[in-house]
Amino acid sequence: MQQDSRPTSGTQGCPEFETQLTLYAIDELEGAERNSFEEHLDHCRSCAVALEAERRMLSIFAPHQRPEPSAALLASCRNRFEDTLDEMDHRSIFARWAETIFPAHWLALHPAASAAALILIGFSAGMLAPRHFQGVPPSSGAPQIAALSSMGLDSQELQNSNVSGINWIPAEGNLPPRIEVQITTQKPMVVQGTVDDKEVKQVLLYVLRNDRRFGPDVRINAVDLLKARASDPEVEQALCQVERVDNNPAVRLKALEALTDAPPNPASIQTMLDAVVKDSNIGVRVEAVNSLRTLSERGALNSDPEAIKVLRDLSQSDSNVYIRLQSAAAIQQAAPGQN
Amino acid sequence: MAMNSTGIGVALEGAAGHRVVQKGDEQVLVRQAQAGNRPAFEELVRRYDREVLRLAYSLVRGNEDARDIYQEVFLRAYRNLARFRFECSFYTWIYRIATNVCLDHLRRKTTRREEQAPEVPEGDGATPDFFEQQMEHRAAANPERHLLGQELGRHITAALDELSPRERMVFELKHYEGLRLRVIGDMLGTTEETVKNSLFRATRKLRASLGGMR
Repeated sequence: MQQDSRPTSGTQGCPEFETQLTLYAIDELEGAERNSFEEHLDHCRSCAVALEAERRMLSIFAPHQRPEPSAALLASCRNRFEDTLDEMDHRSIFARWAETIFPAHWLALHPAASAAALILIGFSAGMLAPRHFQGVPPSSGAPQIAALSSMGLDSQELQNSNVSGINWIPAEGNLPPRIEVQITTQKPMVVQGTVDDKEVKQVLLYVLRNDRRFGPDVRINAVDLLKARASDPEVEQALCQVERVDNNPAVRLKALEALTDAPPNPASIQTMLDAVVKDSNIGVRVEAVNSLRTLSERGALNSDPEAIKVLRDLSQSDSNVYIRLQSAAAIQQAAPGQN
Repeated sequence: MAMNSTGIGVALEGAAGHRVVQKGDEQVLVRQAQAGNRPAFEELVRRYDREVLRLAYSLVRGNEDARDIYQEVFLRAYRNLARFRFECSFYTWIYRIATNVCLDHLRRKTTRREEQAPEVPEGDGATPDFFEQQMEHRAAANPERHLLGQELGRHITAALDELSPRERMVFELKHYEGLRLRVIGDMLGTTEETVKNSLFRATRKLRASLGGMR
């Protein structure tokens, strides 16, 4: 075998083979060119070294090294896009309606008549509208506002209604926030109360238990508001259900946050363990192991051998290094010397 | 015409390696969406939006910008859905829109033009020590690994920022998406030779930027 004797600098290969080397490193050199370059590689040490260096450099751009967007970012993109589509649909309905009443081509073809018609319509509306609205009770056109405590919404009514939005005003001090729930029933309704009201809780729990009927933004708001009552067994059970079945990772993340802040109990701990082990979303799994770490810091896992066992398995065999490290740290705090 | 009948569609899905497209099902969904069925369109969006967002995020590395790109891509798709003629897969079509939107975004963001990109010193690709160090650290799995990873991430981001929008896009599609150069050319509406040249320039710049680290 003949050795190439040309001078090289460090790992630089032969300049005339730079193109082939670059293409060969990314598996884009084909046919005769590939054969020819491979033959050259057999004889040229500097090109072989340069090829190895090239491959090392490119290995840091492997797909698994790529930065990943978070689940929360994906959820917010989807929400924003759905809102935009809603807006566009709404506008297109209005545009069709306007086109029916005022066809643009008719206005363009008859400018004088159009101007006269528009003046007449404007004048009539200005004269007649005030007289009409004076005789109408002020509340008939606006959504009805009711205190939830006086509404007595039953589950049948809730099944036939839709929650189109939840707004709240943070209260000062330790007082619960004032909540405004927009309910679309036969007649649009805005209901107000606080999360301590039984009926408010009922509506919010209904949203969580029927996740497919409501948008993720409504579900996230419902979880956020119920967080203040997460120690209530009924609320806690609903949050655990959200964590297990809601198809939106952002909602599941919110539920985890609420469960973490609540007083720990076996059901919530089991839900977090299941989330770390089974959730399909890595962001949720990471948040779940963070929650378990928080609980272990508070001493909530000290007397839970089942949790320690699951964490030990995770610390030894989970594919994600962060989860392995956090699981080990949680065991260290809950049962020092056992990992 | 049947879906995925072009080389682009097949190659794209094959190269990505993780796409299982239920062709008949997708064709029905596209036709329903073209007829104004919004849930069908939303289902199509959900099938592909993760990958579009991943591409956008990887290129711009910022939540707000990635969100804007996501919105623009799917709005363009929504507005132009009637023009989709099944000449390639829906995934390829969406991806083409995504690459165009990303390129527009990168061009707007960058103040320099591709032809004004800083010259890369010729011939100095000769300092591989940094990469050898990284390999050793990966194998060692010591507590400093996380910090080193962050440091490496910063260097990579800075090096990628030195590329022109087109070089960046070509490099992204080749190395992170695993697409063939011919397919990248088809997607970007250019020749394989032009793509090759962009990739050479990108690789040379990266070699110079990253090879200099120790």
